[in-house]
Amino acid sequence: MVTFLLLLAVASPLVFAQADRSLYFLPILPNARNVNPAIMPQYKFYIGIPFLSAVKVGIENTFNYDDIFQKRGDSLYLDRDFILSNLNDKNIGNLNFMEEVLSFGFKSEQNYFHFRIADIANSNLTITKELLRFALYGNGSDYYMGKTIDLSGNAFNLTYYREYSLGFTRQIDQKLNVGINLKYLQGIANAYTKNLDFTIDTDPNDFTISAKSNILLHTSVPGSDGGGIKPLDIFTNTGNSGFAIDLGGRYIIDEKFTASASLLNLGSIKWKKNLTTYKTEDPSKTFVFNGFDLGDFISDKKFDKSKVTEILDSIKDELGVIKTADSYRSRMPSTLYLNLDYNLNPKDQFGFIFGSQFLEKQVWPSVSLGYTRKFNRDVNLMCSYSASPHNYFNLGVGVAANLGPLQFYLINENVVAPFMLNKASFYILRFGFSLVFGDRQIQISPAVEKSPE
Amino acid sequence: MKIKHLHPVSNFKGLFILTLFSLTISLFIISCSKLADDLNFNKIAVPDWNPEFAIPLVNSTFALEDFFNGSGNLFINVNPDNSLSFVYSSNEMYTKRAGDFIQIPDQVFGFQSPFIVPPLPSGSSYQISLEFPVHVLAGSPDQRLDSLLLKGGVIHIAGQTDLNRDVTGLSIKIPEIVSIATGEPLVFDASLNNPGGQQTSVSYDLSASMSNYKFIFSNTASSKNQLTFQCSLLIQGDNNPDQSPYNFTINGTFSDLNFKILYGYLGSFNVSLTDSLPISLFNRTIGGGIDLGPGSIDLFINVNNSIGMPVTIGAEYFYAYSRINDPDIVDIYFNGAGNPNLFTIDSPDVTQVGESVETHLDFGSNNFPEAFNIAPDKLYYKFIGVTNPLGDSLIENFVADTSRITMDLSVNIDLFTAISKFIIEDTVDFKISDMSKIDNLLFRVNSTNGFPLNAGMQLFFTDGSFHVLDSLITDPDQTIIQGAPVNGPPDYRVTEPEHKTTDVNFTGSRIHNIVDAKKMILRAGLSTTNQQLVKIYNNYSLQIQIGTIAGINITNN
Repeated sequence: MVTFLLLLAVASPLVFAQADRSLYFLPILPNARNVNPAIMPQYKFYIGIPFLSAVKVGIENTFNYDDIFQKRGDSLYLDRDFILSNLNDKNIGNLNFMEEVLSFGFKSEQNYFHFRIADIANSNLTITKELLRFALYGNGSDYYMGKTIDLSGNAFNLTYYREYSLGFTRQIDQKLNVGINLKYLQGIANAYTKNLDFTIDTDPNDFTISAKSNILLHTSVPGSDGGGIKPLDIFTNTGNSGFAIDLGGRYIIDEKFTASASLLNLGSIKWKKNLTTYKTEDPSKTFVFNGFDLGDFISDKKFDKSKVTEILDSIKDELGVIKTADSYRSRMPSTLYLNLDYNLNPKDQFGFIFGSQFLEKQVWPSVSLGYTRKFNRDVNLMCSYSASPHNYFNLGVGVAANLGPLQFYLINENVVAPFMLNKASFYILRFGFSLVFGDRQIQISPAVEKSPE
Repeated sequence: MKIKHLHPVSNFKGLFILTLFSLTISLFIISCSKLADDLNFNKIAVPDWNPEFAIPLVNSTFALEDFFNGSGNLFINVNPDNSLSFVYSSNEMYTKRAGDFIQIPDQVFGFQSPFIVPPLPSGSSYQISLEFPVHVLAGSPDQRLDSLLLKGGVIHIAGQTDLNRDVTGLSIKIPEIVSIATGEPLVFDASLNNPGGQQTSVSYDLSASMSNYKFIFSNTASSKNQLTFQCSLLIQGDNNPDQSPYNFTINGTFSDLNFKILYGYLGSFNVSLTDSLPISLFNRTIGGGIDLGPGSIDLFINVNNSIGMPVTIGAEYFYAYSRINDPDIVDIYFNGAGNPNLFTIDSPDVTQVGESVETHLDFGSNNFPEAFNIAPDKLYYKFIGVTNPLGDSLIENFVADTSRITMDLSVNIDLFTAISKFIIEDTVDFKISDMSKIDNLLFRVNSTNGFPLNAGMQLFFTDGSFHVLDSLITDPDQTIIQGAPVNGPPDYRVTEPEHKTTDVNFTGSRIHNIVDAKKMILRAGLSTTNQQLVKIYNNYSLQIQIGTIAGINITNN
């Protein structure tokens, strides 16, 4: 039970993080194209160290460990009223993981070409306070007995896919760059709720349960045909394909200001393989369960175990949730970034980013302020402040440096989190190693162009 | 493409960056380690709350027959007024077949007779007739056999003569033995030729199957069961010397005679019928009994008789037995107290050969109510049938080889009773899986009772040796199911169903007490509403709803 509660209360909201945004604040990174395909890297050629060129783990949710547990002495206390008081009506969590398998890019005149393969896992989960209250109190509690329990509004979307991206950036003139990434998406696994709504009434006299459901749950899981999941199934799962596009523009307003905008991951995956669909046949129908008829289980004065499965199947039928295998399309969580950079001098740059991620049924806005110190053309240090509706204070730091042709970077989007994980509800760690060759003069920022070594 | 080599970063800056990177990773790992320590679930203190989940478990409606399913000999009868009766029916008992208790012994007979043959010139002939009476011995001395249809048996005849004629024919005719198929009497023919008179004697040896032959016996005041063998010698004249007187012998047997039908006066035989009748109503009784209303029990005896003889049947014993009460035996009198349990059944007459005649007997004046006071779980009985009880040898009997008496009895109990304390008990194997997830349980029993019966129930949880470990209900006399109120005579009918809600709490410590239980004993004390007389009607039912609220122990996975 503890595991269940903790999964609900802690693990589940630790879900997907949208923010690659700090890449904006480390301009020497070719990976910055990931947040805006209009960004022209300053190197003529780069290639990521396979499997290490970019690794990201991100979590972002609406509450933290301390919202759940109270530590008194050496013991942990769970107080359900305390937990519920710390919850929002809707508790949202994201978790994502990304690893670049292969990436490289090169410049040719005013054009830049880029290619990458990356494995990406996203999970988005919405759990209502009512669901958690139901789990903590139960329908048999005085709180709920005789009342309607509305468990609607919960949702999840778990996606694991492989992205094959072909990018192109064009320097239109001295002020304007535009870029595009065209992505082929190889869907590997997905679980996705279009609807996940329940209402439950419990009769206080005889505990008869009346329930209505409106469920539409799609899954596409390798091995769901009963053969079990084999690693090869994951890597060769090509039955689910999709496409997405990234668009970006970057405009140098003057020597001090640069504006950019990008719209990422506009697309979807069509899931056609390894499908299972659970859906409510008639959402208006009320299922009433008032107990088992003992006579159904008794034959020849003995309890007939074989009847149990039969009866449970009949209850499932009564619930009206049917199992099919419908193909479906899941939208990618697309992101909008609006960015304005201010170059105080050739070494010091300030940036502002407004980001908004568009999920299935929610919009996840955020703002970030960043400062970048350029020690020379080989080292960037940055610090940032980010705020989102449920996380108002997140300080990030990052470093990118070249050691000869070897470039590495590390971004910590919440510098406090490593020291106070119990209070962190937001954290992104990103790092990578690449080989870069042929530094060119950065033209999008005259101040940088003139910076002395 | 021209590749430009990058300027290497200074040693100081490189060291600074590496230090910053290493410090961040180290602090992150330390912090994760601290959180992992905090997430040690073994440190979670037991909270003072549990989530409580309510689930309806049982919703069953029982009619009377649901409680007695599987009682193979019980039939629940709906009377014209919709009141119910239990009808317990016995298995069909049957006597031996007549072919098994009436047997015709093997018969042996033999005669000899001298005869004289006059001079017979060549070309002439002479016939000599001899008659021999044969008395067939029956199974008992007083039997008189009139006729006998056989399905098996053999007649064997052998003999000899010292007649010294060249050509002599022998014919043996038994007019009382006729073929059922043709109506012709049984005739044997043999040759007694003695060419030249060279042999001192001539013999013959004859046999025949008696299957499908009919014996028609001659019976007079002085002679019973008689057959006549008519022997005829046809002698041809020749030149052989006359050596009269001659001698003629005949010896014979009837063996393995199996009758198909036997007519006559067959005498007195005893045939028995033995069985027992389970009364499932009291299968699980451990105490008490029931008081039945006046005239509420009938004993019905049904007899089918294909024996063509007067038969009287008497009970050698007929009693009710209770394994739990004292006295444990009550003798049953179905002809009224003190009168012998004796009755006469109908028998088929000669026009009903091969048929059964039914006799239905209703013994309403019985002492069954007294017997049911001891809650008998079985009735034991043995009946003896006696044929020709009056010994009147002038009457005509018959039996087929398959003739017998079959009998069944049924006890009809009108459910018109008053119960003050009738305790039933049942034991079932009990095994419960790990209940560590359950902190407390509340069972809510909602009963809507259309029966005029109260039930106080208790569940005992015992170990394998039936030592009680715990009980479910703290008040053993608690009435879980309240009987419905009843109006007065003559209907004694329920006026409205009775509803009762009972909550039974099972705390965590008591839950642990029953985890080790191996047996569960259900004990229920039943009584009619206000211990008054009630009738049970066809539309009565009991609805039981059991729901539970389970408090989940969240500190134990």
